[in-house]
Amino acid sequence: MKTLSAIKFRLSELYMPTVVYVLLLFMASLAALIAGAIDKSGNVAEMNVDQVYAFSYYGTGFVAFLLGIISYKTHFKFLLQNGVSRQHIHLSFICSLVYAVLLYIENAGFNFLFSFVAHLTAKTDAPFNTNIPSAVLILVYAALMCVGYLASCFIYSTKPLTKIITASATVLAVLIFILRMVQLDGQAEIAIVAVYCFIFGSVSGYIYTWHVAAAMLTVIVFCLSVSHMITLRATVKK
Amino acid sequence: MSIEIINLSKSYGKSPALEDVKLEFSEHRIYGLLGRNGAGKSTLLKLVANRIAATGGQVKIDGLDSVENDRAQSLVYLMNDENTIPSNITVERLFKLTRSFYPGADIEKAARLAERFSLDPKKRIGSLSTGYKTAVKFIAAIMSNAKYTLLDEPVLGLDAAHRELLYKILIEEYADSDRCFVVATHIIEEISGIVEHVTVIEKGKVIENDSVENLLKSGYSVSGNEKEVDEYIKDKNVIATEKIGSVKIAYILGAHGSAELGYLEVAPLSLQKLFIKLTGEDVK
Repeated sequence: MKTLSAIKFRLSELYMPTVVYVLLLFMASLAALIAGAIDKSGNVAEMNVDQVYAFSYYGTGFVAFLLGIISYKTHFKFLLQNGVSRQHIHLSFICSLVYAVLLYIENAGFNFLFSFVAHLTAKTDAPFNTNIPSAVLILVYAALMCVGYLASCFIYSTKPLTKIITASATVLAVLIFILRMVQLDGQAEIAIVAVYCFIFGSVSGYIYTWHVAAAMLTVIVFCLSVSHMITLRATVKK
Repeated sequence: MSIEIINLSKSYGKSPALEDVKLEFSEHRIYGLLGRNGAGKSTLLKLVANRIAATGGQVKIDGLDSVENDRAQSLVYLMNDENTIPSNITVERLFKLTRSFYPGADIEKAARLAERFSLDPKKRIGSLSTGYKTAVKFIAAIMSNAKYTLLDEPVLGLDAAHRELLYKILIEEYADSDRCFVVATHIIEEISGIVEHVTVIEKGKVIENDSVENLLKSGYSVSGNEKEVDEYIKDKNVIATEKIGSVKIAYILGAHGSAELGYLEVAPLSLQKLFIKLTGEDVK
């Protein structure tokens, strides 16, 4: 019973930020459409379509990351207060990844609607392009939620010394990577570049879909495993 | 049916917070958990409520292991000074959420209690004063109808009127149900009339665990003229003395013989004085 209540609590707490984001997205796109409609200089509406799609993809990705961030501290404290075990607190977060699907549906619906309106108001006879994003985007959003969750979990629940060591190790790794890139005149190890591209190139769609899916699943599994380990030892801080 | 604490230990790094604690909290009782700052009271309650992990030992709640066990934790509600309630939710939403986690929770009781505390249920938690936040936490604890309700410093930030109301509600709840309340507090005088059983913790160890009746029987106080009191206490085990004007009061451990008292007035021992004696340091 407590697990089900924990899942319901998680889903209800993420509902409002998502609705606010969708409203903001629609308002921004409406502004783009109006700007395109009132501009007499040429094919402005179609130019804005691309900008709005990019805004929609990246904006939704950022929102997914934020949903992950807000899913830790407050939820953890409240659920523990109400006698939910740490295992089930973590499980309830995994269930809340359903928001990645909702964000994708919102994204797809929005893109379809926007491209339709843009097509109607466009000054050219360009064919109607539905622009439904790839379903792999669900994994990208889920991965971003998990990254946000892990970051929040790490900041809230680990000891200061662990934070310092991890931050130092990360900075050192980045520095070594940059220095190596400079030293090799851009010819860094292919493996590192490949991993980098899998993870960061996914949104722009330059990599094969299944490679992106595999990379995102790896990120999800990694983040969930580490955050699970941290959550099992976490305590409430005042 | 009870909470059994079996050889429980907890250390923070190398410093022990609790050492080999053995206790039992039974149904339909109000326990007072007393101890000085840092004695280990809050740690003990957090261990029972699965907020922190023990270094050793075990807690059983109605026979169920308390660690990572939703069924066992359904029987326990811990109210303490930690900010565990999201500040963006309203008081009435908190009550609804509490009901979803505790099957026996009574939302109408919560509404009645909120009215008694003059608390607006439409207000957001974040907009409440410290005192009202404490009141909300207390109402959530009471409405949960959890079999074992642990109250750690429940009157923190409450004014005198609300403190009195809180104690009144606690007694009413105790009279109307089989619930067990464990109250950890520093304000001993205020709870001395409520608790039936006292557990005193000092430096992580249980140094006293007995009924209030037995504890208060262990001594008495005498008051009167300073010379007479001094004469009387010469060969007695005196815990503390105090002087108010020309009257001297002495707190003594042991039974008194009425024949030797003369003009001195005898009264029961105060729980606070006994506590000060037990925890080893008088006020300097």
